[in-house]
Amino acid sequence: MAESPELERARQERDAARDAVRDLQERIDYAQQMADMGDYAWHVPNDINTWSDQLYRIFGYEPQSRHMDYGTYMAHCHPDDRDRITVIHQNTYATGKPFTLTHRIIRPDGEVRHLLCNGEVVNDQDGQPVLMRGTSVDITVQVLAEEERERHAAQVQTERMRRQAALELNDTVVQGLTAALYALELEDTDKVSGFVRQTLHAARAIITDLVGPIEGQVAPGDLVRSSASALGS
Amino acid sequence: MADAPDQQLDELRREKQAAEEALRDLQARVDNAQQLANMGDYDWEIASDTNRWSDQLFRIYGHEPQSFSPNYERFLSMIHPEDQERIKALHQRAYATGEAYEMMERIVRPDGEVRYLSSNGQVVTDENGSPIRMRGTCIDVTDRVQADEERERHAARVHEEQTRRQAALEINDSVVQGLTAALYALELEDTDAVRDYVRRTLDSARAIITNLVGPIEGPVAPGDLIRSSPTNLGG
Repeated sequence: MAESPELERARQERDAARDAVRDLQERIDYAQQMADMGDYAWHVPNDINTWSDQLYRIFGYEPQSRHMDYGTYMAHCHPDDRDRITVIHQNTYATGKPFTLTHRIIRPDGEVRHLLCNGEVVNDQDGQPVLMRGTSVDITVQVLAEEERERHAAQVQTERMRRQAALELNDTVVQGLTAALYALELEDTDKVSGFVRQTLHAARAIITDLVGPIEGQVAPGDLVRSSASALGS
Repeated sequence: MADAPDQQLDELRREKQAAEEALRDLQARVDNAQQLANMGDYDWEIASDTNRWSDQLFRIYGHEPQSFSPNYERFLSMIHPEDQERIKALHQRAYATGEAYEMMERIVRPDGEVRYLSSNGQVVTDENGSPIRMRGTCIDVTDRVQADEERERHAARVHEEQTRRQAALEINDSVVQGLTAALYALELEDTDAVRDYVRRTLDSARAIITNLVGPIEGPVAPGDLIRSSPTNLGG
């Protein structure tokens, strides 16, 4: 028996509405995978935490493969970061102000990942917090690249300073001492004394120049060795 | 046994309403998440050159959501001039190879503000393998980029300061002390001791120089130390 046109139209409209939901869900899943970003909604009264598929993947799990409450989430956070996360969450819970933080998580296989997280609290009409929701982006690749850039920046800047100090030592101390040795050969004691004094003055000037911008003139006791030195004498 | 047509009709209408409600909830969820993460997504249909942007992507670019049609030319015009060629090349390669891409690009908002985006995308092909769409996401990472730059400056300062202190310490421990001893020996007119101190101090100074530039270019040989900038170190 054929459907009435009215019934047929209703069926088409229902299917179209369901298709729209599926399309949007597909779009969200795709975008979250591409951006390595997930979102969560923590229903405070019953401690049920809804996670998007990608958030499960970020934490190293199959999507929707396990129940996530606040305790389970916290158990995955790096132990050194837990106190900070708790304080920030409590502050958001109390003040209603959104938060942003980066912290580390440890996946079931032990891999550490860096997340950029944010969240906000949603209150009911009585002002009671009912929902904490937000997003997490896995920024591990960016964090590691940034650490490398910091090391590189430090090396480049220090290399310039090292070359300059080496140049100064060569120009003044090495040349002054070489001159003093010549004078010693010639048994010209006055010249020896002159070169040694001049070189000593130059060496002190180099020291002042090295640490001067940081702490002014070098006085005895200023140069306290903070780490074992590789420079031999 | 089928329900009566009226019951079927009611059922279909309820199901349609439920789907519409689910769509609204999902839309609210994605909008909220994208605002919080400052992330947007795009879907560019190549043949018609129409680009669907999420609301937050418009906001990232400094515009009201859905306030214009972001075709490719319009998109490119909002990219920082210095980044445009690179972005175009990247898109062309993705288009030709079908490979996914990741990039960091600067955009210029209508008020002139420059923002840094971390973006990615992927070409979608039809059943014949021809590209039909390019879709992906952008995250506004300006705050992180600026914080990173500051951290790099700080790391460089700290490292330089440590190295300066250490070099100063070495010069003090060996050169200054060796020369002071040489001066004492001169007072005592002990020429052998003077020669010994001067030689040892010279060795120390050379060792320090090697150590300063050694890790970079090996031992210092004549001509290695070419002055690259005027110095304020006095002799």
